[in-house]
This record gives sequence, structure tokens and C-alpha cells, in this order.
Amino acid sequence: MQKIPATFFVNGDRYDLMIDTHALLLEVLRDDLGFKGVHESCGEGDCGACTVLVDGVAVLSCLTLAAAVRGKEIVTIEGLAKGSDLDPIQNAFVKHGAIQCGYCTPGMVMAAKNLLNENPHPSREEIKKGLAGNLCRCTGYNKIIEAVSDVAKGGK
Amino acid sequence: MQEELRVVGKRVPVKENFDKVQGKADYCATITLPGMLVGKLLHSPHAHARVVSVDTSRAEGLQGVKAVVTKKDDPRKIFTWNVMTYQLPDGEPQDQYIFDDVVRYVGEPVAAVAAVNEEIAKKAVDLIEVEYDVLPAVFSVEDAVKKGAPRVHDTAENNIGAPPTPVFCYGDVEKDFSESDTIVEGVFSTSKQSQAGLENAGCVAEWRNGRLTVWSQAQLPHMTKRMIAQALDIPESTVRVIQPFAGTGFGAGTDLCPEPYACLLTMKAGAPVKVALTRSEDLRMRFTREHIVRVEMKMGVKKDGTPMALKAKYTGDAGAYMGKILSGCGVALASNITEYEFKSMYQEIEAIYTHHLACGAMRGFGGMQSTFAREILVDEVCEKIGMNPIEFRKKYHRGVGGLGWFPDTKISSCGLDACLDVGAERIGWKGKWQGWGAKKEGIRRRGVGVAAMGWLSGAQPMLLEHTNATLKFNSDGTCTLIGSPGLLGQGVLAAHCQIAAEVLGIDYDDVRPLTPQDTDITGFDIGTHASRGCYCIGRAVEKAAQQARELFLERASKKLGVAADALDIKERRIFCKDDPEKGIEFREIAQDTIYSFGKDCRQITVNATIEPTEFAPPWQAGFAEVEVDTETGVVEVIKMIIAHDIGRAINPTVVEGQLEGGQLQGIGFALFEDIIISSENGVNLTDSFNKYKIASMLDCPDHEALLVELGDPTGPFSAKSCGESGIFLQAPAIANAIYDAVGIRLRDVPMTPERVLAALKNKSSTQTN
Repeated sequence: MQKIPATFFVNGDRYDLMIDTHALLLEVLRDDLGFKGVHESCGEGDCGACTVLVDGVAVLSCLTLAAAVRGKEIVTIEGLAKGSDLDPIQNAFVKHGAIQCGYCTPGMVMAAKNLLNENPHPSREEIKKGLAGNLCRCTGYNKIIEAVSDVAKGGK
Repeated sequence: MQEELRVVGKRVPVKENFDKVQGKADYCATITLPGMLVGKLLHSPHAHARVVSVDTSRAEGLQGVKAVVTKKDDPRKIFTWNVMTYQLPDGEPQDQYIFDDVVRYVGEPVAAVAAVNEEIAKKAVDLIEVEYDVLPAVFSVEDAVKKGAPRVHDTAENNIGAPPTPVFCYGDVEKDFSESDTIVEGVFSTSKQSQAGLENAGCVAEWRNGRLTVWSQAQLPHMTKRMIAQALDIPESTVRVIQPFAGTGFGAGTDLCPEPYACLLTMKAGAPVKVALTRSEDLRMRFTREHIVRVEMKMGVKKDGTPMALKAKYTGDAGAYMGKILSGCGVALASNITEYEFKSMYQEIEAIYTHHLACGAMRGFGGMQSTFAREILVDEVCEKIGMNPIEFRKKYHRGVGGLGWFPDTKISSCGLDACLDVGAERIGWKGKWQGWGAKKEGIRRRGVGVAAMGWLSGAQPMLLEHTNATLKFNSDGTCTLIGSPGLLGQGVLAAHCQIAAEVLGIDYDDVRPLTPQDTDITGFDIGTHASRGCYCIGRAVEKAAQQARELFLERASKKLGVAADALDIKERRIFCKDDPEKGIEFREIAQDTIYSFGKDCRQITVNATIEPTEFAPPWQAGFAEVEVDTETGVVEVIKMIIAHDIGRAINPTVVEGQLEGGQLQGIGFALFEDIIISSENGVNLTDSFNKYKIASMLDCPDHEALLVELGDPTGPFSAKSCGESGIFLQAPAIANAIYDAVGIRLRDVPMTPERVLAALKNKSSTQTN
């Protein structure tokens, strides 16, 4: 297997490393850099559990070749909190009980971040469309929708 | 009900969610250990074959391969993935080996490899050469019992795992049918739903210095430990099960899955091994919902609705192994007893082997299937006698003191009337239900339907439900709650902490649950199944907290010179009931237990054991409003309401979350979730999330879970269960709503557009004729 040099800016820090040419962004983030909050489930783009932001846009890290996003700014779930202060979306998820097993949560929160970046005040229908690519088996979605609505309305 | 609760009943956050929301929570999928190897399985491509030989030499010769295991490495101890077998004195059937001479379903493991990385492990799996003697296979219970059908197990003649067996019958059904004015009956079929948690099945195992540590998604960690020891033929104390957070559950963790293979690999390789299945492997190999493939049910009533006789038979498609099919059918039967006051009942169960993936358990175990059949038949009965379906349910459900699921069990509380009232109000039943035979026009037609059920809070006294909970106090007045419910994200640890804090008069923040859970630390607990977490384990927590409270009061009594029974604790302060000014901080007593310089050190650590015996059924009413497109057959759920008799919600946010989550799984069960296995070759055709559809946000209708809190005399702070209850009533309520909309009676789930269209066509041709 061939290795190539790569630089990534993850959660504001620079990482220089050698990666496999065919390595997925998910694998590099999780296995090489230790961002274990990047979760794999379906491995083929059906569920959204592995969602991260690349240059501010939500991507599925299980379908993204790491080599293709060299030099880019990547944000994972580990990069949302500022020190001990959680992002308002994270606080809202905890407060509203939008988390059960929590396995989809990192991807769901990143997708919500992307949605609110694009549309700071989404309607219920816009939230459902915006997060439709992120599956959650536990919550029945109501509390996730409430959490995102709460943030959109300025709740903490 | 008790007044002035400070912690119980509050919507406090679930503590572990702070880690989960930051990506800091560990799952089997995220655990890494030094020198950890990657394990991969070789699956049978055949539904039925004799494994003639397995040549591993090329795989073993590949650089980076550390172990290859086959049936030669299996100690050949018969066992079952179903760890709940230990909850019955005689157990459930055990019919599995880790690797057998015969494979019995497509996907059954034949060998496993551990290597230094995934790429090499996959390559090594491909290098294993297996010679199969392919045998004929059987893919339905109907074919399986035919004369001359291929046998799944040599020991099971005609593939009968369990012959038709009557259980818990009473009265004389034939006499009561003959005295009934109206009789309805039907044959129903239900699907093989997958639990489909987002974390695929996976585990890590490490054999080190003669001990085997297994990081598992188990819901029942202590019995998982025992079963692993049984399968590997090693002493139980050799095995230690650690439960990090599990990204799945809903029954999935009540059976083993990759654990035996990972254990064999680590014992051979001498290094830790992770076996993480892919989504496809998970759907092909993880034991599914108990597959009660057929429910035959008949009921008779008097003109005024008085329930007379009910007869039913539940047929389980066991698949390749017995797993939980017998208990699944048994629960279908037992749970059907409690709902209505029938004068007599005769019910039987049977289980048949096929070459399908076997069944474990899923939320709504067994009760899903009998509820579906019964609640549709009740609707039919109501139409025939011209009775409002809500009225029937109110009038004839069993009440307090009535018969529970199991002989000699009694109903301790029943809030079903209130559930029916608040649910009907919220769906707008009065305006929307226009009576039987109301004419509906147009391509898209709306209808409403209702259904009801009673469930349980732990499977006592039928099953062993032994629980221990420990509270260990620190010198600052806080404590660690050491229990073992399994960490499935059910939120029950929050409820446990609330119960302990309330009893002790301290704050929610003062009680910290142990995570991850470790069988070397935690006392024995059955774990999480049968909706027992809050009720059964909660009672052990309550008892431990009461004992600790007494110890604190005794110590404070010495300090204050006041009798212990004259003291109370509130807001972290122990004080005289008669003279509240006189008191001492809880923290000071706690410090004195540990840093006492009067030769009186005694850290307060309390363990409480509970073996619950009472039957505390939660009740529920479900209401669906649907719109049926008569051209496409698509059923759209406009609104789905469940009103749940929780006794008391220890944490309403958690309770709602459980019910709402169940609700969407119930809509999936009703309308689209189905494991489809080819009847030609046994291949699972639905082995990904784009073929096995679980609900996305776009499938999420306007839905709500309403809580009815009338208390239960036996529960901790009057609480009953909610873990499974959310999932039951969507299928029958939607089926009844479809009938109200377009006049067709569906008897099979999922109620797909194809089935709806076929039934509409059948109806119109019947009418034309």
C-alpha cells in the first residue's frame, strides 16, 4: 500500500502525517489522529453517524478519501466546545434529552451545526429536511428537533 | 403519592450525556488497547451445508496474521447466545456450538482471523479454503414441517423445536364460544424486525495472565460472563465483562454475537482482539426480533361486548437455533392474558426450526405480535356489536386485583381509563371518528384507530430478576452508585440517581453512577430486559439508599444527642424534626465516617438485594390518524398519540424519550421494517440501511407520548416501566385507522403499499361480485 504525505487542520490544529492513498477521512481522523468521536456505522453513506465539517460544510467522512481533503479545515465533535464550555447545540441536546445511546449524536450535532450555519432560523420542516440524512434509532427525533429549534430561537 | 419531592419527578439531565455529546464516551467501537488485533469472521455462503474441511494454512502463512480459529479450537461445549436461559430454573433450549460441523444459515461463522490490521485480516479470511457439502435447506415453517423436509438439527424430528403446547389456560373456551353472540377470528403474520442500533455489533476481548476480559454491548453483563465461561469451558470467575456505552440495545444485548469468536481469537493470539461487525454483517448475523411468524386468534363476546372466550396459537420461526423463540411465543401468550377480562382462554405456542438467522429479542418482545392480532379483532368485534371501540376497552379491561400475566400474579394498578381519555382528547377522536361504516370519499382518505395494552415492569415472578445496588459514600457527602443495568442509553441511571438522592435528602449532583460497568466491581444484576430497569433496579437503589440513610441518622444521632427517629434529612442537612435549627451538615457526618479520630472510622457502603415478586403493569392507549392513498397504497401517519400509565415519571424527559423512540420503531414495524430473506437461497436481501429502512426524520410524523401519573403501590416512588412500552400500539392502531379510512382489514405487518393496494383491489372485486 502506498503512503503519501498529508496535512490537515483539525479543530484548529495542524497535523502532518503519512496516510494510505486509499484511506478514508473517517479512518485518518479516528485511527491515526485519535478523534474517536467520529463514529462509523453503515460505512456507505446511509446513516450520517460519521458526519464532520470540511471547510464549514458537513461531509460523510466514511465516503470521503482523506487524500482529497488534504490542507482543509476539518471540525469534528471534539472541536465544538470551547474549553469546558459546550457549544449551544451540545447544551441543547443534553437539556432536551436528545441523546440516548449517543452513537449517532456526534454526527447529528455536526449536521445540526451545518444546518444552523446555513439557516440560523429553520422551521420544523426545514430541520427535518436538514437532518434527514442522520439516522437515530433511539429518540424518535422529537427531542432532537426541539433541541435544534431551541438553539435557533436563541436558547442556550 | 408522596409530596414535596425535590429530585424525583424533575427533568434533570442524564449525566453520561455530557460525555456523549462531546464524543468522549467510549463504545466497543472506539476502544483501543495496546497491541490490539483486528478480528474478522468468515461466513458461510450456504444456508445448509456440512463443513467437510477448513484449510487455514495459507491464511496462517500471511505475514501479520496472529491467529486463525476454526471448529478445531472450539472446546465443543453446547451453549446458546441467549444468556437469559439462566433466568429459568430449567433454562431455555441450548443448541449451539461456537463452530459446528454443520452451518445452518447464510452468514453463520465458519472461521475467524486476528491480524495486525484490517486489510491483512480481510486478506487472510479470503485465503481460508472451506470445503462444503451443500445440503438442501428449508425457508418457511410451512415447508419445514412437511414430510421429508431437510432437517435443521438431527435431533428435531420434522424440525419441531417445540410442539404445540398450551400454557396458562383457564375456563372452558368451547363452552364459552358456544354461548357467545359474536365470534371473530383471523390469522396474522408479523415480520422479523432488526434492533438496528447505530453501533454495529462488536466487542473487544483480551486474554491476559489467565483472565479473559471482554468489552461487550451486553444488556445482561453478569449472565453474559457466565455464558462466555460456559462456551469456552473455563471457570466463570476467569471472565470479566466490562460494559462501555453501547450504541445499540432494544434487546440486541440480551444475546451474544461476536463475543465467542473474539474470545477464541484472543486466547490463541495472546493479544487483545476487536471484532467489529460491518452493518451488513450485523444485519445478517445478529439475532433479530423473536419471529412469531403466525398468530391465529379467535374471540367471542356477548351482544353487549362481555368478553367470553379467547383462543390463540403462536407459531415461532426459530430459524437455525432456538434462541429466544420459545420465550418470545410464551410472552405473546402471557401478555395477552392481562388486557381483557375473558371468561376463558386457551392459548398455545409452537416453535419450528428453519434455515433462517435465529431470533433473539427486541423491544416489545412477544407482546407486539399478540397485541397486533388482539387489538384488530377487538375492533372487529366492536363493529359487529355496534360499540364504540374506546368504550369496549374501558368497560372490559382488567383492573386492580385482576389476573396478571402469570398464575398467582395480580394487577397492582391500572391507569388505562385515563390513558384512553387523554389520548382520545389529544387526537380529537370525537370529531374524527364518525362511527362504524362512515362513508369516505376521494383518492386520499383519512381515518382514526385506537388500540390498548398492558405490559410489565420486569418478568418476575416467572423469571429470576435478582438485583443488587450499592452506594459507596465519600467523605464530602457524595456517593457512587454501583449497579449493572447495562449502558444502552436508556437514561435509567438518571432515575436511579434521583431515587437515591430523594431518599437521602441530598442533591442529584451528589450521586454519581459508575461507568463503564465492570462485573469485577458490580454486584450481580440480571441487567436490562423486560422493562425492568427503573422498577426492579430502582427498588434496589431505593432500599440501599434507605439503609444508608439509617446509618447516617444513627451517626448524626450520636453527634447531636437526639434519637435517630427524631431526625430528618433535607437539602444535604440532617436536622431535628421538632427543632430544625438544631442539625448538622450531611457532609460533616460523611467526613466523620472516613476521617474519624475517635476510633470510629466506618466508610458507609451499603448493598441492597431485591428479588421483586409483584407484577406492576404499565398500561397504554394508542391513537393513530392516517391518510391512505387509494391509488398508490401509501399510508401516511398524520398523527400518532400514545398515552402511557407510568405510575410516576421519575424523570419525565427520560420517560418521554423512551416512549417516543419506541413510537418510531413501532411505526417502522407497522409500515416498512422487514428483514427479507430469499426463499431460494437463504440470503438476507436487506443487509444495509438503504434496504433495511429505519425511520429517518422525514418518516417522523407528528407524534407524542403523554404521561398519566396515578401511581403504583409497589414501585419506587410509585413508578412503573416505560422501556418497551412505546412500540406496541402503532401497528394495531394504524391498522384500525386504515380500516376506518378505506374499509380494509390488514392482517400482516409491515403494511406496505403493495399489501394495501392488494387488499383494496380484493375489496373492490368482492364488492363487484
